[in-house]
Amino acid sequence: MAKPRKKKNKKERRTLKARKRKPFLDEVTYIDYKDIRLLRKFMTDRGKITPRRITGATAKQQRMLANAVKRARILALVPFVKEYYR
Amino acid sequence: MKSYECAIVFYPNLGNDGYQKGTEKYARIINDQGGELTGLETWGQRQLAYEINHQNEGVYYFYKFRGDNNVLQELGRQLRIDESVLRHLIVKDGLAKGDEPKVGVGDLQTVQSGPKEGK
Repeated sequence: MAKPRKKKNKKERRTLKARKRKPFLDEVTYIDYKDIRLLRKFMTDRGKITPRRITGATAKQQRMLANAVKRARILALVPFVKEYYR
Repeated sequence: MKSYECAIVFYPNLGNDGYQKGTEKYARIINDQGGELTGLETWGQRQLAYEINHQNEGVYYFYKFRGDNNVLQELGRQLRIDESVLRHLIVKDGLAKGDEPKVGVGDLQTVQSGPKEGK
């Protein structure tokens, strides 16, 4: 008789989904708002800031990152929101 | 004195003279208020991430300077009045060490550079 497959509980599934990205902010001490390439890595296609649980950034890094993104948004270097046109 | 960076986005249709005049104006303001200019960068004309005042492009300039509070106040006031300015941002320069050599208004060279773009 085959063993009944163990059901995955909800918690297990969620931890799998929220996989941490490799922390490539390892030696970063300051995040410049002009560094669009770096900022884009931590934003979704729609222009949202990706949460820490996905980027794996430390609290300090995430703070710097958020500030930099917000500054860049003021100067229209990165979007506030990007509407999806059909 | 603390190190600051001032970013200015100009309207795209001012012509070369307009930008020259504009950049000189703000260099002079910083200087006159007792600030010390340390550099000026430009990214040239560039696509905006979103439309501002019906404009899709802007011309970016970045001043680096040291100064006191009165420099920031006067600079901010003038930038808000100026109708050739789309956006401006004055922030503490997190990358400056505070020992960059001072540059006079006349000797100020506009350095062409660009952002690191792409994904």
